[in-house]
Amino acid sequence: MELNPRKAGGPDGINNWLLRNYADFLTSPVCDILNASFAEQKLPRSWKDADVTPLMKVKPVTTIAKHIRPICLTPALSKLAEDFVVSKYIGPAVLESIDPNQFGAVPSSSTLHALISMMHTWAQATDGTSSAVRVVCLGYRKAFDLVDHGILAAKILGLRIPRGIARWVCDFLMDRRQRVKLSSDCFSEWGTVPSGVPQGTKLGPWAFHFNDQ
Amino acid sequence: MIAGMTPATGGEDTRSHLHLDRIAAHSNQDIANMINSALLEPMQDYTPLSCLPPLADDSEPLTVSPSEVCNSLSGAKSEEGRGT
Repeated sequence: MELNPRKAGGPDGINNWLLRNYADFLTSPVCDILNASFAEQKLPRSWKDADVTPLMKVKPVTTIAKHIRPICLTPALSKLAEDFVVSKYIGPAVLESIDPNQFGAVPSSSTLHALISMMHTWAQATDGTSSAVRVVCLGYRKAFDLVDHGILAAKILGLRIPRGIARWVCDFLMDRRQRVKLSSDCFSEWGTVPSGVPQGTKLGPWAFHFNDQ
Repeated sequence: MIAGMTPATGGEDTRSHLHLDRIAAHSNQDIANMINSALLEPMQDYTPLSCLPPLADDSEPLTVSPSEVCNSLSGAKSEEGRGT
């Protein structure tokens, strides 16, 4: 994992540049914090808070829920912990059972591969067959935000990963809060987040994958 | 910055793209609250997780070494590769 020193810090105010520049001094305490979190199979409360940067899908915005995408800025230490959990357990377990036609948010893959795969399938169906292809495209509304935590937790517990890791990931989903960051000195009140996988976290896309299976 | 001027903020930029009813009557704080409420509103139909599964008695809990943590903190790529 690479900490981008130019990226703004999360709600805990610990910036990436601080962790990066003082890595020699911080390694030991950070290591202890991460290992304590894994041993207790839960995250510190502060790791579950997110500053949401409103990203406008279209301009002008006439319907907030439809035209704004919430991108979460979460604590850097949480991202470090998530990265270890993903690389050691979640990633391999998900890739073992993922649909081969899933391309987005998969390592060494991209939506370009999805396009190539579609073109290949269409060409195979039409090449020399005088056939035509009809394509129906469907999109999920608020696909990331409206993931049911109960269903997701059941799927996490069904993965071939140690039970303690599954419990840690379930705790990642619980008691989350978010506030909107409009500018460096203007924040909304905190609101509780009862569903969804946070966009902008390390675990988010993976949690979305196993919800999809 | 020109003396006496307040630097432009991201809040003003976001605000200028919001075409909502009576937006001018609201402060930036009101607008931030309005956006957060609107983003969270569709989620309120869902039931949050109320309890965790029992503590697992894993024989080998995940532990990370100081060198792995140091690599991550200092920005060096670990041998494990990136998650996403």
